[in-house]
Amino acid sequence: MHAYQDMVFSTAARLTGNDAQAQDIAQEVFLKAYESFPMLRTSPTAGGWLKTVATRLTLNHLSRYRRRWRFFSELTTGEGSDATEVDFPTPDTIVADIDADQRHAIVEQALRELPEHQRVPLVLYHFEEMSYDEIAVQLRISLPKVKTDIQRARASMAKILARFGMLQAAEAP
Amino acid sequence: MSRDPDKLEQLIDGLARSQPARRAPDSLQARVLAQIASQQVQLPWWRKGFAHWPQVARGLFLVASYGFIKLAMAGVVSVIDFVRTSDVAGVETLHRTGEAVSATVSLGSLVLHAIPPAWLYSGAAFGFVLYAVLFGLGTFAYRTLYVQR
Repeated sequence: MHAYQDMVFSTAARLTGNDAQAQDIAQEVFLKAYESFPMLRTSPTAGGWLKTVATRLTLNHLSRYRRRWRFFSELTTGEGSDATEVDFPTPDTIVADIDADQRHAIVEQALRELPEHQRVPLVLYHFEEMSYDEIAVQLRISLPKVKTDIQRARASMAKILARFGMLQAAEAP
Repeated sequence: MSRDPDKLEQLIDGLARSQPARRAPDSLQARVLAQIASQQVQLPWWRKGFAHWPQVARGLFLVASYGFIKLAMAGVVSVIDFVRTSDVAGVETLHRTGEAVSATVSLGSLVLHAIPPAWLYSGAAFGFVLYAVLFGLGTFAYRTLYVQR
């Protein structure tokens, strides 16, 4: 458990944006792992199993709210629309004089500040390394909408990071 | 600031890849172990889900279930066979019993329809009042004679 608890907690915390909920979910994940201990004890894929269960349980936990954010998300983009082009200003570079610990804390804070309908697909894509198709299946939304939500999430995150002084525009050549 | 979605994707992807796992709270391990301990203490195996039963018990349960199903099927088949092969007297007895039951039900229905509805409602109301009075008396007696002792 000690080897995997940070990974499981991180998955749940980044998806929910709430540490208390993440701790409850992580506890549930390890209780399930305990039930499957004979299988996991010698399995080389125990880490993957735990990550999958953590993701699934977190999404289940969020599902009660998912219908609501799907509704609002689709209200602004239109269900099934192919509106993947999102116009936004992109900061170009990461400010160099912020140390790593501070940068990591700012990224976590930025994730927490994202609205759930943007945070969940962004975390699944960039942190859990799921494909657009997999995310669409998991969240039961259309593929174009997944792409739009993730693009909007990136733009929102860039704005938050810029607000914290972590990003700046590149020097013009 | 540029307007290049690919560049933004690379930027966020780079940040995500360089982001270490968050440290789980120190209390997490203790919570999980306490929960496991309480689950183990809480219930004997036969009161837990089938998946938590010992292997032997699960095997025996499946064998017993299979036996019961076979027994039930054999019972149904033998009843059907008995009815098919029974003698005329047996069938007649069954027929008469059916007629008697049917006549009793018809008689009950006639009596019920013969009673005026007002009487029925009055009877039901009287029964309800009696029940309420007896319930109240019982409660009063319990509180007076037993609880305050």
